[in-house]
Amino acid sequence: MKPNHLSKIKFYFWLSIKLLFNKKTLFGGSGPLALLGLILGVAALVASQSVMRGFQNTMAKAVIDMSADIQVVKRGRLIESWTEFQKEIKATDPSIQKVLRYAHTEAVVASKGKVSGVLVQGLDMKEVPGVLNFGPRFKAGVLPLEKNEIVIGLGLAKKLDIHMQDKIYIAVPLSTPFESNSLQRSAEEFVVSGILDMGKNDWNERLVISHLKDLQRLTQIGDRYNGAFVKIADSQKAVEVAAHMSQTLEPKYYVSNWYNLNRNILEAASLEKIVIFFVVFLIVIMAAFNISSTLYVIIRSRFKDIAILKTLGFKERNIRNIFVMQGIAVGTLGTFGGFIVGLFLSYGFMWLQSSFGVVPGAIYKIDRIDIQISAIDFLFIYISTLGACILAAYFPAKRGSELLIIDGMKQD
Amino acid sequence: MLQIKNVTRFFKSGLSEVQVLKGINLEVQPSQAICLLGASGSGKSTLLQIMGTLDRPTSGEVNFDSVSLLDMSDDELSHFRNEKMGFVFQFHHLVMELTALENVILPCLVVGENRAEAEAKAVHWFEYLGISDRMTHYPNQLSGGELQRVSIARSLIKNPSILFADEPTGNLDSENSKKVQQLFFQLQKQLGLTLVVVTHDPEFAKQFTQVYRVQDGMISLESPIVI
Ligand SMILES: Nc1ncnc2c1ncn2[C@@H]1O[C@H](COP(=O)(O)OP(=O)(O)OP(=O)(O)O)[C@@H](O)[C@H]1O
Ligand SMILES: [Mg+2]
Repeated sequence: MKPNHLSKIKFYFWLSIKLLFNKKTLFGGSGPLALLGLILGVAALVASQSVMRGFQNTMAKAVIDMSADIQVVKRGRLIESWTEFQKEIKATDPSIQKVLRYAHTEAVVASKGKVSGVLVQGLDMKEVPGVLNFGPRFKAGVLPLEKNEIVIGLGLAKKLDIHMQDKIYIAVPLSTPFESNSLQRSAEEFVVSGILDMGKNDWNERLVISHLKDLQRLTQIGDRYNGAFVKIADSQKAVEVAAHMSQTLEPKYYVSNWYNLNRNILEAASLEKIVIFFVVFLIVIMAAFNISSTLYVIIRSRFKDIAILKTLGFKERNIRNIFVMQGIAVGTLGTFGGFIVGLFLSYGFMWLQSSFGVVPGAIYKIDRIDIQISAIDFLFIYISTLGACILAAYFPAKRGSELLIIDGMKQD
Repeated sequence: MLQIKNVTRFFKSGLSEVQVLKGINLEVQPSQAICLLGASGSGKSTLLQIMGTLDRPTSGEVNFDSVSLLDMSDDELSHFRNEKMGFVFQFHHLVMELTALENVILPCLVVGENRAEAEAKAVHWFEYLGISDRMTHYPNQLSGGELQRVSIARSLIKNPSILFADEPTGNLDSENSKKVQQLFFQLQKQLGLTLVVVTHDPEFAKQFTQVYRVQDGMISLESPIVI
């Protein structure tokens, strides 16, 4: 930018501020009210976008914590050798950090006379760190240490009234190759060593986690397993790495990733976030109309000044820019004011939630609202608000700039 | 330098049309001081505004050093005014939210001039006009005479070649009025400034070598002056 342009912009800004922020407009007329409307609109935007972003992130975090970045399974079959398969996977992409195999089976859990269908997932507990992240999700207890210990989700604990160290029965149906229309049952007793908040309702009610060995014994599959969880350096690259792995591995393997696993809910959430943005943005647009009419009044009262500025050699464009700059100033002020009020609303709500337990039964609470304020959301809100305010200022500014000198000189 | 030919200016008011100027011819030479006299409503201000490109005539020509000003766009005229013309009115027309100094440098800032340089130029004019201790005052902190001097400083900051003044002393007491009158002739002599002044004050008018009377939409030379 030429220094001349820069000093002109500085000049516009300076003069517009001088003409905007004075006793007349600050303490009289509809100026303060119009600004307040804008601040409230922006606050509503900040709060709603923060909640939605918080929801998305909580969701994504839960998925990555519970099932790593990438999952590989063999289509329709169990996998035999772990050492070879592990090597094969690691060879596909340099960003792969660690691999963890798992086996799972449909089962029925019985406790205190109640039963529920579950999915039992067997893991090498020693290998879990660095792939899955259960640690912060424990509401009580730890991962299974001893044989026949098991970890269940919050939802199941509530549904079947299961507590730490309770004994539960897990029954797995086995089909026999000899009698095609009958089922055998394989059941064992497990001790609950931990209760997890798995982050998603269906997991909390259905997923239980045991030692891989226990599951393999229960399901009589030997040392075979279903698939592997893969941890990579940057979770955000999971989609690309998974695609790359899928091309490199034999086609009998199916590769999925954390985003894909929850595509529906994640896409619905981001669509919802956009829809909410536009709905709440209507408040900002209403506020912009208010600002427009306020600026119109302010500019009308400046006709004499506009006329004299024109005699001094101000062009229409100069006058217009000065008043559009007022729109920019109001938009910026409104956005930052709204941001502060929005933060206040968000944190106020979180504080209420945590200190008074707005949602009862703290330990069973699944849908905690985790608010997340992101710079991108803020920037987006700022740009849109600024756009609305510039448009709001443009029309009165244009009207004012088109004033004829001889008409302006008559005003008094 | 400034020449107007067959200038007419009609205003539409409702259904009827007011013919304020009916064919004015006038030529102003460089460094000349001319005075426009006339009854209230005779069209003096209208004529001055047309000469100063603040208004466009209904018909006729306005030429500056043989360049037709009416062929210029509004933006070109703004630029032209900024460079060549200064204006002083009966009322100071200062921006109330700005200090005297800030008001004076507006014509420099709008064309992107460096602020420090503009202020240096302004300081010179404040000193020249004897109001250098009033630079940081706001208009509502200044007397009528000081205000008018500030607006004169503003009209001079770009070193115009022609200065238009519409009843510049109309709002001043006789003492301040005298000083401002002297100032105008001093500017004409010292800087070679061309002056076009509208006044009701016969004492002021007497000092001009060329006095024109605006009457019935026409203009006539009237020197020596008879009031
Ligand atoms: N925009 C306009 N629309 C209609 N009539 C106008 C307009 N501007 C000026 N007039 C009319 O033109 C005539 C001349 O006005 P002008 O202001 O030029 O008079 P003047 O000689 O300067 O008077 P005064 O000495 O009172 O300042 C007046 O009758 C006025 O009503
Ligand atoms: Mg007049």
